[in-house]
Amino acid sequence: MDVNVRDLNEIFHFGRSLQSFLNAYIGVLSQVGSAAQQDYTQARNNFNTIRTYTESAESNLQAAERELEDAIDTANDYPEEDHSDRIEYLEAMVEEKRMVYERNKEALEEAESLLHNVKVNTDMVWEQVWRSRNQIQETGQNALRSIQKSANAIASYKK
Amino acid sequence: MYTRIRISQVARHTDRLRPEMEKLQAAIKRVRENWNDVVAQGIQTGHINMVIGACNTINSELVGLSTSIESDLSRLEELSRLATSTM
Repeated sequence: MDVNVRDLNEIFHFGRSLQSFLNAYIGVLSQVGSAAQQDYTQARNNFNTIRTYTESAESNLQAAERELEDAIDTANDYPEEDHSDRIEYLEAMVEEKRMVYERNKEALEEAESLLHNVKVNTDMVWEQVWRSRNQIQETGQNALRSIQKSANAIASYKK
Repeated sequence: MYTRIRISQVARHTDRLRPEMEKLQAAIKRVRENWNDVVAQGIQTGHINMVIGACNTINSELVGLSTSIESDLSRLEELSRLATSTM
């Protein structure tokens, strides 16, 4: 029976599609690695923001504590004057600053663990991308060779 | 977020190959039925299936990793917003 030209064309066409798929797939796969790196950078930026605000909250707390101590010292130095309102106000301020600091400290601890997870997963994405590139290149080349061989066989029958 | 966007592109590429595969299967079937079984067998669909199978496995593993990254990143953003709002 005659060779069907349509079949030969389909097979050649598939070979070209497969080749272009492999190029596109491997190209986008590399971009996945870069995207994971961008995500990690974003995670680190968020972590740094939390750390900065936690440090700032700590220094605000220390300043409020110092102010309270000074007020108590002044009250002790001048017992004839009434300092209770100011001390009460400063105590409330210290409490407020402490709450903010404690909240941020907890957030920082959680953020540290999240950043670690993102790093681990980003590294895994890189490994996976690298491994997959090699795997797809190898299996893709085998598939293309098989397509080429068959197309050649059909073409030689055709002559 | 970026990882997930890129992975969705990878998955789309895999999906695009599927209809091409179907056309090839039909061509192989016609070669087998109408002409030469040996040549039809020579088109080793096993190799091509391996490519598709590998891509699907890679895609799903990457989707798993990107989901974890996205969820951790989203919580980090939330914590960052909370930290800045309390000051």
